[in-house]
Amino acid sequence: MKIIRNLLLLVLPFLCIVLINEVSRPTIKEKPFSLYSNTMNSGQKLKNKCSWECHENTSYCKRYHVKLLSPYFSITDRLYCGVIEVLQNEEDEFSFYQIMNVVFLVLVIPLLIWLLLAKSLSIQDQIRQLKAKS
Amino acid sequence: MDVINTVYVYCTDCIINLANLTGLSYYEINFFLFCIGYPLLLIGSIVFLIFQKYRLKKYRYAKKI
Repeated sequence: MKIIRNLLLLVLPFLCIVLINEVSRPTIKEKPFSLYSNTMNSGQKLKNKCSWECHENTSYCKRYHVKLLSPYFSITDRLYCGVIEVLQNEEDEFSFYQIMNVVFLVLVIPLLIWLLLAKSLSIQDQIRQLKAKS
Repeated sequence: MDVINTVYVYCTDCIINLANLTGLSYYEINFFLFCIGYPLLLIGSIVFLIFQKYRLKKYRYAKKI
């Protein structure tokens, strides 16, 4: 039971990614972005929704799509660009940025959070057993 | 390298799709997820673990008495 719970905790975020993409896939009518292989969304500049253009051109996304955070750009930009800079190397190679993104944001940090949560839940089980004994 | 590229593209597409599904933007989803959510979850899970260890120690000590 504990193994299933821990496995679910690990797999659930990745299942959410698949669910979001597969729910959205049939609704996307535009031609996929051609700069990278296997993209789902378009690379066109669309004013009514986000596309790969928002990934390539942050200013475009901020100008046409951001509403909630627009009064706070002075603060959010520092954090947003800070995260991007941490993941980039001095030569500004995109392949290095991709690797760092996948390694840290998809593997290392989620795995670390999962390990900490699994350990906390295991301690919770030990506490429950101690309570039951007394 | 192909695997890394495929994972990167799939995850970026997920952020774009989530932005379009929620009515937020790619910039906002990225900001909430990676600048707010990740640090909060990471710090929160460390604090939770320390708290759980403290509770376990307390119960074990109480049982000895």
